[in-house]
Amino acid sequence: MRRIWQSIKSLWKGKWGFRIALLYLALLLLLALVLPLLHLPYAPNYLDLQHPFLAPFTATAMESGHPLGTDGLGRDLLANVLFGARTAFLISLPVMLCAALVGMVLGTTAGYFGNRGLQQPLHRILRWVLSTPLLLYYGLYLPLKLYSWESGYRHVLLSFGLLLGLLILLWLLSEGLQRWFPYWRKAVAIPVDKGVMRLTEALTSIPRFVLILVLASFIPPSLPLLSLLLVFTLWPAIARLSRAEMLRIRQLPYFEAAQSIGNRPARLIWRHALPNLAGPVLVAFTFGLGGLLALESSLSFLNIGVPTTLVSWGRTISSIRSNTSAWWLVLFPGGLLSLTVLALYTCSYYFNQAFSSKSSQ
Amino acid sequence: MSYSHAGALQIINLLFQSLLSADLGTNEIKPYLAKDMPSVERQDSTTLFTYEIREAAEWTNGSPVTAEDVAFTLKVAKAPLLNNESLKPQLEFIQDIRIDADNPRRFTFVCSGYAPEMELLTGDFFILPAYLYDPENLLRHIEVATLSGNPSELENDEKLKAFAVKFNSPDFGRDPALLQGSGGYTLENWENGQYLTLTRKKDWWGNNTSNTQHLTAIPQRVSFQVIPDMTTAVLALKNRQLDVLEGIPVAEFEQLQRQEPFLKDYALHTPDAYEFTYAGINTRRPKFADKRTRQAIAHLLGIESVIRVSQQDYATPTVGPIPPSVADFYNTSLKHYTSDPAKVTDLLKASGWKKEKGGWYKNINGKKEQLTIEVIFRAGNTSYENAAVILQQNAAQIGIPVHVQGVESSLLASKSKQHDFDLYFRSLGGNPFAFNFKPLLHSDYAKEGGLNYTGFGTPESDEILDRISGTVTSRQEQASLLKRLQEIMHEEAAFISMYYTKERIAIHQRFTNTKISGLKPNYDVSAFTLKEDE
Repeated sequence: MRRIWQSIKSLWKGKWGFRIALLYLALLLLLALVLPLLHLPYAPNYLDLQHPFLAPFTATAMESGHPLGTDGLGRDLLANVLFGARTAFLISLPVMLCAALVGMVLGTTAGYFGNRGLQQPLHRILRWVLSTPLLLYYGLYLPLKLYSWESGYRHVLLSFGLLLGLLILLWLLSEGLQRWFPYWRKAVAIPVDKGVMRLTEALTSIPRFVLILVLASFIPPSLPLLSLLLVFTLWPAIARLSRAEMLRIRQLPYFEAAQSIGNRPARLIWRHALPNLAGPVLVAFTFGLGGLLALESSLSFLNIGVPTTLVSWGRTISSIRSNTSAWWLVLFPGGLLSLTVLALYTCSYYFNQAFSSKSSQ
Repeated sequence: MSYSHAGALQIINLLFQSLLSADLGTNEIKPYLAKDMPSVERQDSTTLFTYEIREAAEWTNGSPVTAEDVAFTLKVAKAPLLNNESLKPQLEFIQDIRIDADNPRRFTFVCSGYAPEMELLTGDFFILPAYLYDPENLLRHIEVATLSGNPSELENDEKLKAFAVKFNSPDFGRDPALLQGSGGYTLENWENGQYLTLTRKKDWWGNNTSNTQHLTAIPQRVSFQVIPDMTTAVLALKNRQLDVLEGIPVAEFEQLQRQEPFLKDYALHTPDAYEFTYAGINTRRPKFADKRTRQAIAHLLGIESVIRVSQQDYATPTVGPIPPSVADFYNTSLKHYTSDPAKVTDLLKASGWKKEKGGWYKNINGKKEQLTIEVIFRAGNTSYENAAVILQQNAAQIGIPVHVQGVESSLLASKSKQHDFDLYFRSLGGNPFAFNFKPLLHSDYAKEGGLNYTGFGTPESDEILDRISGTVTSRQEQASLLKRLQEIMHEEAAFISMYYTKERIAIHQRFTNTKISGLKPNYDVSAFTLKEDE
């Protein structure tokens, strides 16, 4: 981790392009965080029905307190642009973080263990295979359903209790199997790599946009759903990258040395592989963040998959459709969106430069 | 002739003619192919409408239009196997046609029951030339009367099968040699998705009828450009590439209205259209069962704001489904619902809601319920979305949470049919000749799947709707019934009519006699005349 910090510091000192981009992003992030504390004259969803389509910087605009003008429903553009930035970050940052986490975990395990590296006795595999659906049903699906029916915490607790009981039963069963039947003690290699690769292939073969469109047509749009869907479709890219890096790192002499003195896999990955992985993943992370910002705006523009009340740059830009002469509805949010994406890509570019030069040394 | 697009009606209007039609210049029903309005004779359970076709009327090949052609058209509309689903239910009430033995242009429609709008409906379909569409006389042996019953045995009729194969082929709707009627124009050119040109017939019979102003075919050629995107269409208009453009978006129309050079070349028209937007509240939901709750919501709709913001004043508020422009039916004693927070609070309190922290609550069937509204509308429609957001803001000021959700149109349809909604926004189009709201408002249609989605209906309103669609005899009686109906609808506030829109049309100044109307297709291009001074 220190090495990453070092590279960022040297980039900050040496490249002014990187410095500007990072400064801009930090400012925007800070603004997004402190925004609720600032006292803007209008809330982003407030409709000033007396002043629809107000052009910016005109006398009426200044007088009515909408310096950047308003959209077709009299919503203040300034508030919408600022809160739009907040929404953009609140969606894309957590989504990208989750996707990076999932991708890294799956990618590194696939890269580290390959198809033969992970050997487990049959009875344990059986336990996992059976407990996964149980966990999903009693631990996730049922509690969520019960919660949405507002049937009280008692039922949710009951579901968790049932899950616990079933898991203990499964554990007892597998322990019994291995004790009395030697067959179940046989160790089998789990093809982790194959599994992860097939999964990424399957997911990347469906265009993300199509998936969202299909889902939006029969499930009411909501932010958690959209975020979940994005995480679900974004992790394969990071997983592939981490897997490739892991395969490379595994061949490095120092890694082999660490392995030969008997380090456990978890420690090997955490102490020796991850620091090497972090650089390339950071590049992919910033790049993905830019793409995600653009995707979120296009979804809002098309009014697909996001609730109508969600403040966002895309929504503001889309109101141009009812009045093509309202240029300010595109200029301000569109400009900010382009600048942010550009800043992210610039950062990504410099990270890439720094880390690729380091690994080739 | 069935069609699926409003633009198609405009073109079919120039190629084919119906017995009766609306004269867009006067907004009156006038005889077109028919010599006069039909004579009506009511017998017990049937009504007879007798028409006579104009003597001069002839097809493109010079043969006269006869009652046989009308009979043929009826067969086409009613026969099984033919793709004519939109026309079939519309002409279901015509049971038979009796052709006068002495006069081949005289015939009588035998219709079941009686309704005032039947007079228009008997004449409101395009008459097709039998000589052109059925030269082998494949339909001759079939009687119209047999088609009105249950004609399923006809599905094995070889001749009908042969005709259906021909009729259902795409060629039948596209071939210029077949798309020829008694109208003043013939199809000259049709490039799919690009343009369509019509030319005037050299010696059209309509030119020789001296007693009518509404049978016209003045322009030598009429050319329609297909521009799928409105923004592009407006740009083409601004570049003077179009003579006529209708359905201009409000914001663009406002701008055009302020451009002096443009106004020198084009005249802008805003006739009152017969399309209105309404909010429907689901009266079956216990929280909306009390009409005072619904009235409170009606006050929250902010009709004036909606008109100003999403229609930019190109709309007229209305108290009910009768257009304000139809003066003798419109109930002027009613006032449309206006924004009034004090009144909303009073109404909510009166219907038993109590304001607590976080919203309005009421005990319904022993369960404490909060007043919340979920609004659905067709996703992508800005006017509905604006109306929903305005309702949301107005309701938030009172403390009622409103959830706004645009849904895909097929989902909207199934939700409304299954009564799975709180409130929705929708638009309805009509004409000023028939005001039969029975399917929309009668409680007979309030079952699942019926068109009465809101569940509106009182014994009195049901009786009024029955009388309007069945036994009404005079216009005065119809007016008083409709006025009372508007009163009940206003009071019940389940089907809240909000506003009637205005059409927005630009027509080049070099034309006169343009006959602008709120009726589709909004102008009569066959009447356009060049101004003398040019």
